[in-house]
Amino acid sequence: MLEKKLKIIGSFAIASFVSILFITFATVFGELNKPFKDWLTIAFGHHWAGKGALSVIIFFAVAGLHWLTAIGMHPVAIDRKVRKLLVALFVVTILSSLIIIGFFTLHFMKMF
Amino acid sequence: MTACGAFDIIISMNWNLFLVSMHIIGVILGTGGATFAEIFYLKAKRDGVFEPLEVDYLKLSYFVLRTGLFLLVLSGFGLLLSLRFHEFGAPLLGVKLWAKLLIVLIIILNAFLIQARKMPMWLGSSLSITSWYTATILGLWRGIPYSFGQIMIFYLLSVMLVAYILHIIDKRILKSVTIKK
Amino acid sequence: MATSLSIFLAFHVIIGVTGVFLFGGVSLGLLKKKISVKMLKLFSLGGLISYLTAWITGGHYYVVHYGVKVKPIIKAGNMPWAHSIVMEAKEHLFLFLPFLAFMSMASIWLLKEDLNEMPKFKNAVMLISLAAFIIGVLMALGGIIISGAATI
Repeated sequence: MLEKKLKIIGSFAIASFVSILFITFATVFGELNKPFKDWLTIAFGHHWAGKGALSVIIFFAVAGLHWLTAIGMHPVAIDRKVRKLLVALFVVTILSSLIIIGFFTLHFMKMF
Repeated sequence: MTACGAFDIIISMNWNLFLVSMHIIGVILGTGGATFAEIFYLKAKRDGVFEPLEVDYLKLSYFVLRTGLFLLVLSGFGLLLSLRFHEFGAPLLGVKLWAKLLIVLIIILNAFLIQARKMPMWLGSSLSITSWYTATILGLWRGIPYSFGQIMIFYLLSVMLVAYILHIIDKRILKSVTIKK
Repeated sequence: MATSLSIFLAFHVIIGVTGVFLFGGVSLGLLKKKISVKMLKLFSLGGLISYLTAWITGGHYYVVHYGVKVKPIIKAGNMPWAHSIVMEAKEHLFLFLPFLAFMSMASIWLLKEDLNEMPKFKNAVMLISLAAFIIGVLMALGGIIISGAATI
């Protein structure tokens, strides 16, 4: 039972990780590539809404795929693996935040 | 009362008075809670044993303190919204507000570090009590003539002074307990 | 600003700050040796709902009013960086919050008392909740700067 719960948490953790990476990529790429930003605006009404919608779609898609394909593991191994995923999610959140803040700062200073 | 009647009452409320009252109550509970938490902590520390009743009083003080913090932050943002709606932005970028915000963040960070047992209590206690009183004084003081840097230097010096005072009080209490024994 | 938009903005701020507090409470609660599952479940769910509501109300205000009316004022004023750096960063970092909040809530609701037996795992969940709290704080501070820049 515990391993099933940990597997679900692990799938959500990977999905969150990928979604946050996507948001960071889409943010930076959107500022540097106008056609991409325009496509988001046309498809979703607003580029920001587009990034949000796509990140949610990616979240559920990755979570579902991972949950279906993840191999059965011993509970102790799952505990350690999912814990590392959560820590990795924390690290990627902090790094992505710094990338976004740094990018817009440098973009404002016309370095990009 | 109809839904329209209730809505009319909400619209016509004196929101500013409500928010200021909530903010002051938050400050009273927060600063009061921090003060009594410190008093109860020093009292409980006297014999080196934290009795269950003493722990209960400490927990209650922290609950009151956190309730106060929640009320004052929520009402504080309400007051900032009020300034925004009245197109009066200068205080939003003012020294006083940002000094208070930084001090509130220090109070919260201090609470985390104490809970995680990464903050020595001699510093944690001083940070807590000094931060609450500094934020209170900043809130009361109209027309502060100092810069952000000056306020922060004064605040940090106060933290060190209060830490020293608490240390003296602690030593005196320990001395009086040792003499009684 | 129209009354309906003022209501959206007010709701966004108040519910957002509530969410920040709730995740602060979750992070603090997860630092305890023996966690209070009831409190953590309530706070994490309340925090998630708060962040999602703030997302929707803030998003509506941003799409309908900010881009058209407020952004030009800030960019033409003394603090154009308030939009170009602060608002741009805020609107994108905000997209992280629902995922972090959901992760925290899901972990707590699924594992409940089991977290007491898994201290390292509990710390990992605490880190996620802390990230949700820290980003929430940055959102709140960014909002103050932007509102100030729009009205000086």
